[in-house]
Amino acid sequence: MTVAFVGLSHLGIVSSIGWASLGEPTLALDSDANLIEDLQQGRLPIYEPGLEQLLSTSRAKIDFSCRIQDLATCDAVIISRDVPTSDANLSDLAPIQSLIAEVLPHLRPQCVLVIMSQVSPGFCRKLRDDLNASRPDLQIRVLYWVETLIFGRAVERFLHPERLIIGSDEPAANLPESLSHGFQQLGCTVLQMKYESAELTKTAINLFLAASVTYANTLADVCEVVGADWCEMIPALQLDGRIGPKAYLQPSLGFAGGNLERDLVTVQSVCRARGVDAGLLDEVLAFNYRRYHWVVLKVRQLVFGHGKRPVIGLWGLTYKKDTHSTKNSPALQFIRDFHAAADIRAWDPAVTSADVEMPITLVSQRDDVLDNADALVIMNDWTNFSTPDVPAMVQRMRRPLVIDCSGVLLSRRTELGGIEYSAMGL
Amino acid sequence: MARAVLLGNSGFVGRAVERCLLRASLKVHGFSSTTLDLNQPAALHRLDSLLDGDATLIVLSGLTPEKGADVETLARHLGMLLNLGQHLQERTIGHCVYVSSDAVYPLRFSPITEETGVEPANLYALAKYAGERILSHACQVSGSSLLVLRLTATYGPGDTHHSYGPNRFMQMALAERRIQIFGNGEEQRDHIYIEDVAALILRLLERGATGTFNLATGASHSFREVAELVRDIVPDAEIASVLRQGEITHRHFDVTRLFLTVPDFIFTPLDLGLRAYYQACSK
Repeated sequence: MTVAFVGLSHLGIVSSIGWASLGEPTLALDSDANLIEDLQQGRLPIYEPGLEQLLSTSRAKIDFSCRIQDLATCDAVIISRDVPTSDANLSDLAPIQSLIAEVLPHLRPQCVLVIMSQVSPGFCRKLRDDLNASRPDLQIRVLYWVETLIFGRAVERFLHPERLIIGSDEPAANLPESLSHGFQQLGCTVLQMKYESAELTKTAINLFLAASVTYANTLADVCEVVGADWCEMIPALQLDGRIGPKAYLQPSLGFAGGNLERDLVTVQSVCRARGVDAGLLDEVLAFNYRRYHWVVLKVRQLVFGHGKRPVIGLWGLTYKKDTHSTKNSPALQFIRDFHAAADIRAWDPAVTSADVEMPITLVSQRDDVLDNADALVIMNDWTNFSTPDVPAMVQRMRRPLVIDCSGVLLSRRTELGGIEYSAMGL
Repeated sequence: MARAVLLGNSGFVGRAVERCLLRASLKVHGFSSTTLDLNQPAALHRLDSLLDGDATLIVLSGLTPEKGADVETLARHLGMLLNLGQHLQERTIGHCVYVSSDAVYPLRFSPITEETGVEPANLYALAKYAGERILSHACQVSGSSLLVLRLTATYGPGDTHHSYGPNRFMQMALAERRIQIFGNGEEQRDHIYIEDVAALILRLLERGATGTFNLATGASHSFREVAELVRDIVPDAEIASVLRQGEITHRHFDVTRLFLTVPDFIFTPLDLGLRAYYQACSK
């Protein structure tokens, strides 16, 4: 039974290739002919660890196409386009609605239509109601598949999910065969629930994570002013059964990348529209927006104020490791804010000058940012940054000061002899 | 900036700002309440020839709390601002600067940023915030740029307000060799040296800054710390503690916006500012 993934954004590309790797016949459809051509040739427009290899081994099971008529042969059609967001992180569902309208005429009767795009509560039920009213002949069953993609771990997350969350209008009914075979191969619990519960579960997960990030950052700041060490405290918290070993407790410059922000803004809007107290959401978002100030004020305290135009080395431009994405990246904000007042040199393993226009110098070697620098600011958590060349730092920098925004060197700070080290929570 | 027009040039901040602008060789026209009564609308026409697209208007006029904290004072204060607003909305000027106060913020939030919600707790704070809104409206109508500066506690020679903190401590120490603090002086406040205020206003104007800025150093100190610094500067001064009247509150500022606009500005450290204060008063 063939399953189609329509809308080959990051989510669609990973999901379609992942589904094909299960041995399931897969159609990956997009209207962008150039994208389809690239995918057919094995050229991926996104970076995810393991994805290229997965495509290579699954090639026989996946067809990339821009012919929408090909949907007529599919038993399940999954709308997998990521919901675009504005600079204010507001979701624009219009492209998803347009995509659904485009595919509808090509669906075979009794096909299963699955929404994987990050829609807001109520979307799927309305879609089902509209379909039942406009095309009762098709008897389309609508499902919602909660995606839990993490940039940089998308393949792992797709192939080894902790659970699958499926929203439907009949949570007690069996899942369609077109999907159940593949789900069984993923080997995890499948939780069926109402549409609205599934739509909100994704947001609930992200709000919990965002609140955890806020919690960790708040406590790290308290540590800095009372003389505590957050690193010492983390194990004590993780061993509390109510908090747990996987609790997100690493302080940072906040969440970025667009996904958490999108979901929080979505539920914030729902709260405001329905009269629900959105205080928690308001403060988590506002706190996150201000979190960037940590590095600004640290640079102010340690780097500026000495009369000379400072030289600042920057490691990390993407919003986190293992991704090409710079969406909402604090590093880019840092460059916008400081390029006029300081000489900035930057390096990132995934970003080149061709990727982003910047009024600074992008160096080709990681440690070239150190030359004559008054500070090295580590903006994200690429693994590469956890193995610094300490003697090179001491020799090459004008002042061997490291401001570590990601905590990537925290566990090794006792090995940083000769380095002035500043990190969150210390 | 072809010329600066100062309203309120005889006040503590006004005098410092005028000196700073003159040192920068700028053409300055200063007015006080005795030379231009803002409560008289007709008086504002004296400014007609001065206020144009090349002018920067700096509004320091106001009725500080020691001049009255009652409704009548509020009415006079608002009257001044309304007359000024009426006048400004009819002419486009290069830049308008309104010196407001951190009194517009509640004490329960920390750290304060420019996004912190305002909550004027007394009539003085209400007048200051009203001034912000009145001039914002006037500038919007006339197409003028507006810079609003919310000033934290300002100290230095020439202070006339005797507010609790560095000013009162220094003045008491000089006059009586006695510095009185409430309780143990635990409250944390951000204190900015008067010369830094004036220099920052000039720097922000040079940068063409608009919008709202909190003028604060970003470093708060307890009243006890301040008292101890004054005691160590003024010979034979002693600290006396009296019963606290109200609850302990603190105020801290996140000065990211200010820092990013003028990243090379160096604030006068509190101990140096107090020392300069003492030296100025000792002459």
